[in-house]
Amino acid sequence: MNSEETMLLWSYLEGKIEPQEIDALNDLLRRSPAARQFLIQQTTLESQLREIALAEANATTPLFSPPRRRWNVRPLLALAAVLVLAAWLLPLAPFSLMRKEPPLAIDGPLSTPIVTADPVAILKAATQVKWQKTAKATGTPLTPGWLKIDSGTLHIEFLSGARLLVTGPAALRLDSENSAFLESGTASAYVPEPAHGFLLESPKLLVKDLGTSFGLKVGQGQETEVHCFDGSVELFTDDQRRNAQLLLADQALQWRDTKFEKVPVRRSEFPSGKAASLAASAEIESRRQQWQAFNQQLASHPSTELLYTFDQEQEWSRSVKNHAAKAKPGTNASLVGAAWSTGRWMGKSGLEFRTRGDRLRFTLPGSFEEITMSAWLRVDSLPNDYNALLLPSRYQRGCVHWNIERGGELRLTQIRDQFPRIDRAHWNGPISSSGLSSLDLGRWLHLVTTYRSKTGEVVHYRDGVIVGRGSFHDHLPVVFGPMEFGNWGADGKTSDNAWVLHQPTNHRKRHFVGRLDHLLIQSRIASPTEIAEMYRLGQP
Amino acid sequence: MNSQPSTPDEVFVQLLSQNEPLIRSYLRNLLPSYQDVDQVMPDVALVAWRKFSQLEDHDAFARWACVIARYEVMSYRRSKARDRLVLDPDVVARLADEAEEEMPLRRRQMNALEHCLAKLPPQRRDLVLACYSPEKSMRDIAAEINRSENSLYQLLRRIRVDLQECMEKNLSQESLS
Repeated sequence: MNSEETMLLWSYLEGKIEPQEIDALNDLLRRSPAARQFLIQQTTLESQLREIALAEANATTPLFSPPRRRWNVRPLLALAAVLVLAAWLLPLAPFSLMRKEPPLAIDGPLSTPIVTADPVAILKAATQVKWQKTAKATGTPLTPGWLKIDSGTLHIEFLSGARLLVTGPAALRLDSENSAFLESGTASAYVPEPAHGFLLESPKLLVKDLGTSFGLKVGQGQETEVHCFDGSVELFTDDQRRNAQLLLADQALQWRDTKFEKVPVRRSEFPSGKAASLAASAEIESRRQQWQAFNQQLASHPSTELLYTFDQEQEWSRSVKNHAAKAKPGTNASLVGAAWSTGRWMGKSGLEFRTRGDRLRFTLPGSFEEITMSAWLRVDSLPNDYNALLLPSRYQRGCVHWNIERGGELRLTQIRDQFPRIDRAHWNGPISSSGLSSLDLGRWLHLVTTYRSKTGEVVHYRDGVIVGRGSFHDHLPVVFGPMEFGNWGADGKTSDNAWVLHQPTNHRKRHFVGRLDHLLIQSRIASPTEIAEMYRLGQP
Repeated sequence: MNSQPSTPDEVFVQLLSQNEPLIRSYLRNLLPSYQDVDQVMPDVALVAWRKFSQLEDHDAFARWACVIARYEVMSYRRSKARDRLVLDPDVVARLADEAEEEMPLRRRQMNALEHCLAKLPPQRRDLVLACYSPEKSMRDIAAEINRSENSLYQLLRRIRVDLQECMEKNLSQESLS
């Protein structure tokens, strides 16, 4: 087939063919076995894709609603009685039989992850910073755009390797992984070899690095100074970048009116890595104290059932203390696989989950009318369709599944029956949040889900803000029992969890990949204000 | 709950459920769009139900239902002939013959498709399934991923061609081993 013929077939397949093209299509199909073959293959593929899509969509169909096929009602009336009966009698959904594995995954179909602009740099630190608009947390990947601060120092690491320290008041626009525009403020640049050629622009001057460290100061009236500390830089004053002025180590120039003037080098006026790191450690210390005070409040709150802060644990320790004042016996957790590592800030410890076996095990007895589950974690990747936060190892009525889907949605489901099955009718939910963006991977997040059995209401929060809510069909209290964070301990070996073996393999594999440095379960609903405050106090 | 169906109606419903995806894909081979499949499928089911007592070998249900489907397509085609967007009867007949020959392959193709879908990057897999899910229009999806509808169709063509190639490779390896 030539390309014109292929186009004709695609137009037909996509329902875009014009009446005047039909004769040509009929002729083509009459004479060309290859064209007929193509048409049969592609139409078959399309209907098979529809079957799979439909099976996945039906897996989340609410209870008692009909499968989402568009049947024509009239001729079906005679069949209706039989079909209704069949829906009750037949244990298998009609569309499931061509699949190797049951498509009725209780945790439902997956959405497409949101893809945003590629980051060009990372915010390594923000020391005593007052942001003009939205604050950015340490570790946030930065996409091209503006950063504006009133005071403090930002430490930005470009993907090229160049590092920039900017002291406020400042307005900086990131342009690419090796260039930026400083509209106002004072900046020091440290450019390692691979990033040579780093460009820092200001309204009056363009500084091109030639292997160096240098400072650039842009005043409010746009008077501009360039100080070369090491190596050399080239300066351009025109858009065409023709008239370069070379500046060597320990030289400084001021651009005033239309010409350069020599000025003495004044390193102390520019942010230095050392000064910034000293200030940062002072800030970290004060935040650490605040955080500890906050944890003491949490620990003594009568509703706190479980509080793992991961602080003051010994490196060799394989157990994690429940700091709740009224901690029930046996609620300390044990570590399997997961390794101790750095938490949200230097000096804060946390756990790293990396391989299929890593998990944190605990048992929480009791039944709860209201719960708040909160975790500070860093998601490094979402390798599975469902990535475990909290999952039960043993099943009973009221157990919950707290997962992150492949698309980054936080979701909660609950078992409505004594013995669950892979059947929607046995489950409450899912109630899902909006998804993470690809920029959220690798940075610390605060995830919270609350549930009130009286109303069945589930609310999801990310970084102190509501990102999803909904209600369970049945209003059951929550029970935990033997649980795992970061993995799924149900092995199918006991009668309560034998059903797990019928899950498709891609739904059974649920290990979490990332870090965790705070886990809290309270038997009450924390208010949106409290959750926002929890985020504010804990953000890195 | 797991008892074997006993009445002829129950047997019929079970056979129909089991074979419905096959019948639908056969209908799609012959009809211009999936909307047409949705229109014709209930008629096929109804005729098959009425004639079910004539079918002796239940294992031949799929092939038998496809004969009915072929008839129904022809009569549907006649009712639609005025809108000119349908294929000529001789072309439909050839497609029907060739599609019927391939019927025994369908289950293996479905397995291969699942295998190939799983090999796609997750975003692609989710996208292609979203495009064929009953919930969303192509326009909605294009808007969601910030593409024009046209470029979404282009992308979908590429994915479909890739899937087809992967399936063929998969099936040929399977027949070698």
